[in-house]
Amino acid sequence: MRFEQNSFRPLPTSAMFDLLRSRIEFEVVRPAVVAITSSTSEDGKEVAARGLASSLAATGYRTLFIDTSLSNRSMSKPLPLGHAIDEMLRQAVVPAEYLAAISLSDPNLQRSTSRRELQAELEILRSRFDYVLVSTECGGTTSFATSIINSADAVLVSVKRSRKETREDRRLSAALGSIGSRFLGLIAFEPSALAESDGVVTPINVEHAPHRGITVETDRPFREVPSGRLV
Amino acid sequence: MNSLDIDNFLSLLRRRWLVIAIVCAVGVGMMPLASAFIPVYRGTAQLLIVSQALKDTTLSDPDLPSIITSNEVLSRVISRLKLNLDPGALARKIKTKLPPKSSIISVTYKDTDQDRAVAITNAIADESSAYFHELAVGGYSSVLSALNKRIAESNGKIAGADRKLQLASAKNAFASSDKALDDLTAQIDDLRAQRGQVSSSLAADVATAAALQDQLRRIDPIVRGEILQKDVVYQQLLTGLSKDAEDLVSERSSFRGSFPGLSALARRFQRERQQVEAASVVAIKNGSGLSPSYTQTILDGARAAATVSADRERLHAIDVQLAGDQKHLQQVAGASAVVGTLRAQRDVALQQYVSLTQRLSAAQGDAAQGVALGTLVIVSRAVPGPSSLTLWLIAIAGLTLIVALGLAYAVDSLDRRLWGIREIEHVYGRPVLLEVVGDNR
Repeated sequence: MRFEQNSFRPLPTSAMFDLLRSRIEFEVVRPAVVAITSSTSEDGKEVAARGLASSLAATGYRTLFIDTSLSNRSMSKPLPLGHAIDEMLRQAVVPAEYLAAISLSDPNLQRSTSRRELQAELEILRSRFDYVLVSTECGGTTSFATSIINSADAVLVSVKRSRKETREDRRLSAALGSIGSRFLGLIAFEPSALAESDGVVTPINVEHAPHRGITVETDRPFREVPSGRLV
Repeated sequence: MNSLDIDNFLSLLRRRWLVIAIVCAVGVGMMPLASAFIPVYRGTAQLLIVSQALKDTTLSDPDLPSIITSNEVLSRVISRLKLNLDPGALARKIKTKLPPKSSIISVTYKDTDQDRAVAITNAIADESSAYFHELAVGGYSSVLSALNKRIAESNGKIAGADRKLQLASAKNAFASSDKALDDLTAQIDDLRAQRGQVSSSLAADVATAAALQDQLRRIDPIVRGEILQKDVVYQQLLTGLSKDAEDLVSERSSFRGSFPGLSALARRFQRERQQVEAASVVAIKNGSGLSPSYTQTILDGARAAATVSADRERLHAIDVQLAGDQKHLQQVAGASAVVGTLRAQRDVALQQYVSLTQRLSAAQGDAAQGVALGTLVIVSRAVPGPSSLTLWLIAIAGLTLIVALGLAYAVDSLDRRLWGIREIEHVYGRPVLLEVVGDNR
């Protein structure tokens, strides 16, 4: 892993994610931590988070994407949170239109991080970024995910259509019911939109980062964010 | 239906096409069974009833179904089309339908022959309309004759009342005049006022006469004195009587009772006294006019007595006239009441006559238009239509489609998959903000 400043081609983003980004801008006060979660691991939360992160960065906001997925399909390398932040803080100022991505997919790391520590780290990130997008798996089913959801300023849930309703759906719905209006809404994915990724969800690739950015290198190939429509 | 509903419906068709296909196949397989039925054709005509009875709640509605299926109408239909049927058998094949609060009645006839179904239905409509018109106009002729009869009766009543009124008016010339009655009443009031005045005058004159009589009594001695003092004969006799009285007194004092001249003197005195008294009577009788006050008083008394007498005569005359007028008034009032009653009877008869003539006029207008009972107008005639077999096939097809869609919907409802946005939103209780589809751009 390395942090470096590069000048790259803009990441293509869907107009639909732009519309979703407009909604986030309107409903959430900056700086904000936006958690994107789902009840199962294949509901497209990471695609949604990356699409939204790309749109926010392209608009000019200092944006950080944090991938906390435990699945081996995650494209980001695990990185201790404190270490990543320390690395980022070497930058005197995070300029606008910067997009950063880090991975916190180490189970041991998640287990050892208390809610208070997490909240402190997120508070530091709020001071550095306009938006911090956190993709957290199976929200409400693990203590780490619960901590992220409860610490976030807004929560989005991605759902893959045509799959069966599970007990985890009802559990997540009940958990989100307690956070009130911070639960903004849902992002629905057609199965074909996720099948095309074939196990490789959209990364924030260093080579395709939209602007100069502080980012992590990924060992996964890049795929464009699928198109969509606003409901 | 918005685009979301259409999408959901199309999505349902895509997901449950197999269920729909199976049900449709079963439906198509049932269609040959329908051909086992004998096709029946149905002719339907619609008739509009234009009737005052439908607007006027006090009138009963004409019983159209009974009229349409009556023997008269059906006999005409049978003879017109030369059918080999009796009216009863034909009536059993006819159905009529008159929805509540509707003026349109449907007549339906079923037959295995399409042309015959149409022809008989239209013939029923035609004959029903014609027969109804006959009933409507015929019914009003009796109404018109009844009204004419009542108008004639009313005319007779008016004429009778006029005759009675003329007789009553002739008997009481002014009984028929309110002014005459008023004049008579005013005259009686005037007489009563005069009587009051005369009564007052009489009372005053009686009092005056009484006062004069009293005065005459009080001045009588004075008047007598005045008269006697002025009468010479009386005075001479009185002087002689006084002298004889003195002589008698002197003689009685000078002589005893046995003196013969004394009794002669006494007799003489008595004679002279009688002469004086007689002279006084004569003097008073002859000398009344010699006292002015007495004369004036007597004159005043006589005048007062005459006034009292005149007053009494006037009062009597007024009483007589008043009694006559009052009697007349009673007669006039009775006559007026009779005349008033006759006039009221005549007015009632006249009003009845006017009402009847108005009703007659309206009835004549209705009868002329033939809308007395109403008019039955053919709104739509029967046309060749599909047979019952076709309708059965259409019904089976429709039923199959409904069952297929219903079954597909039921199966889909039991499926716990998150097929659409609605199901997702239902699970999470929040709106779907973005739907990502598979076509990359």
